[in-house]
Amino acid sequence: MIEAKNLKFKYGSFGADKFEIKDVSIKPEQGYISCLLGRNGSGKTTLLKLLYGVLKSRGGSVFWNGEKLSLRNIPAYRQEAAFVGAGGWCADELSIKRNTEILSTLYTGFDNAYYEELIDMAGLAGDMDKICMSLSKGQRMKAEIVFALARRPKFLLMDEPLANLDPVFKTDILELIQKSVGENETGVLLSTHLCDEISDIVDKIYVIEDGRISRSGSRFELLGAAGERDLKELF
Amino acid sequence: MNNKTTQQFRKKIGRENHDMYGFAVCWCLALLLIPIGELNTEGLIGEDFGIFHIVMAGLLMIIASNSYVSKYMNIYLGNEVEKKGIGLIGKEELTAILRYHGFDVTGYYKELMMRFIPMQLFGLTALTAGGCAGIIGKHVMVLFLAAVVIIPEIVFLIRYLKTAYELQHEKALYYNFIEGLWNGIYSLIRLFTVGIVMIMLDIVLMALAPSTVLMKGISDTEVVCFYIGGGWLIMVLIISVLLMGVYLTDIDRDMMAFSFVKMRKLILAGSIAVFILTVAAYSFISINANICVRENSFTIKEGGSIREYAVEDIAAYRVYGKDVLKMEITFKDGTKTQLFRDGAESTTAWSDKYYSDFNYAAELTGKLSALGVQGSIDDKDKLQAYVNGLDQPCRDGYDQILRNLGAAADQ
Repeated sequence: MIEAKNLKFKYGSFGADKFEIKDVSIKPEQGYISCLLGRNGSGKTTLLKLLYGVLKSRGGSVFWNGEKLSLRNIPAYRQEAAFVGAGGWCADELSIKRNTEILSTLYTGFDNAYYEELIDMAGLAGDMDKICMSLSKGQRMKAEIVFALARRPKFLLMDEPLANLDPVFKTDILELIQKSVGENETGVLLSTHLCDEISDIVDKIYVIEDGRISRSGSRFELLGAAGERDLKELF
Repeated sequence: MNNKTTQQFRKKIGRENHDMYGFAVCWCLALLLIPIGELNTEGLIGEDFGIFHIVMAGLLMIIASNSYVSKYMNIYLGNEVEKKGIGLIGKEELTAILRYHGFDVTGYYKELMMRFIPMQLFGLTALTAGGCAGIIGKHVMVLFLAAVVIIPEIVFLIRYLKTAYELQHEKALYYNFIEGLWNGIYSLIRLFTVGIVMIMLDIVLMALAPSTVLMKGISDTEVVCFYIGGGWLIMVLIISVLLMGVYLTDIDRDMMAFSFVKMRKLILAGSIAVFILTVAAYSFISINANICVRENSFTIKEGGSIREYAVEDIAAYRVYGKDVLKMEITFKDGTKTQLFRDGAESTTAWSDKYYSDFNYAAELTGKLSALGVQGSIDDKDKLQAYVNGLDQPCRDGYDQILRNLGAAADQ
């Protein structure tokens, strides 16, 4: 279980009113797809990085299974939680195959057979020996997601996984996510500003505006029983 | 990341960079430079290096330690991309890609330190051998024994702090410094456990074998000492046992990366065989070639014969030595013998009476002076320099020897 309580964060040291994240509490659940919805610059990426322990909060804490996240337990925490969308998850000048061979040794739960299955599903089988920097943005994103899913994480934090991808790739990625949630009870928290693409798959929505969670609830709660309003109206 | 994943990751990186053994070359060069430089200061090879060899050897050890860490903190791109620059292979630092992964930087560096122990053991072996063989001076040997242990620990600590700073979200310098120190202490404990215990075991075995035979029938209250030859075998024993230690700890084959040392089982078998033969040889030499010294008599056992002499049978004597006291005595029948040898076994009464060889030599030369026996001293300056670093009782003994020599010359 991951939970953030009263998180505060700002970049740099000066400017008391320049907090990027202001008193945010969030608790994505395992087995569900939660969405962090907000405009560009609203603090989505910053919040995800705080949840993953890439940034240190200036106030509040992130808890993992009730234990406060710290330098001591972050390596163990990251055995169960994965982050997608950082862009620097692999060595650019190595192939997907070599990157996977090396990086998979970091994780006790890495499932090689499942990884092969996901690679086929993602249509990357023919690209495994290609150097990562030669792949398209969509291929790199798929490779990163497949690697993360093959770890069978309990939680998956995804930063704009659908940005700048063509519709076919987006469909593939959403299928991969749903497969993982269905098979492994993975809790997914993904950030996006593209309301249309994720409206059918999310279970819970957190709307973030100017570093605060302005609204949260299930998709049906926020959209209303009629279901005819779309997510754009939440901004 | 637990211990198992840390080891797996390190092994994987090591295998990826299997041909990056420059650190081993640097380390060996440093160990080679020390005896060459020491021989130079003796004027044996070309011009005197001064302390250049000491400084260079230290620098090479720093480079070797840093290079070792780099081997495990970089992905060298090998054949996957075109080599960049002249003779350089492209590389990517692991810190650039591990920030979002479950990487335990503290555990990883602890693992790296453990795997460097074979290099340190090899260094201890080479230096001990050089010191025992007299190629490396005692002070330089001690200096570099410390350097072999301390330099890598310092380099690893600095690299660890740098990596932790780059990877961790919290720039906790104090926390990481403490963690790094604990890693270093743990590594040192392992090193000493392997190295010192093995050496002590050698020495105990080497001492136990002859002493049980030599001291048979002699009471501990008698003032008796056996001076034994073959002490150089201790050096051989230490080398063989430490090489066994290198073999046992070199799990990643960092020390055995070169093709000519890939016959691991042969190396282990050879070390064990040398160990057994050395103990046997030392025991044989000790028991069959020694001089038994009592307060006023000498019993020389060698070549199958046993000869007994009294102090009055000494015709002449010579005191000499560089880093150790030596004394050659000539008996009236022409027999010459070396009094202070590589090893010694003595009773408690002897140790209580004579603080060191200097004190026994002072008493003996005093008796010889009273008998009018002529003595001489060589290497006076070197002996004086050696004695100046010893305890007061040893210095008093040496001063007495000089006075006795002077008194004998006056007669």
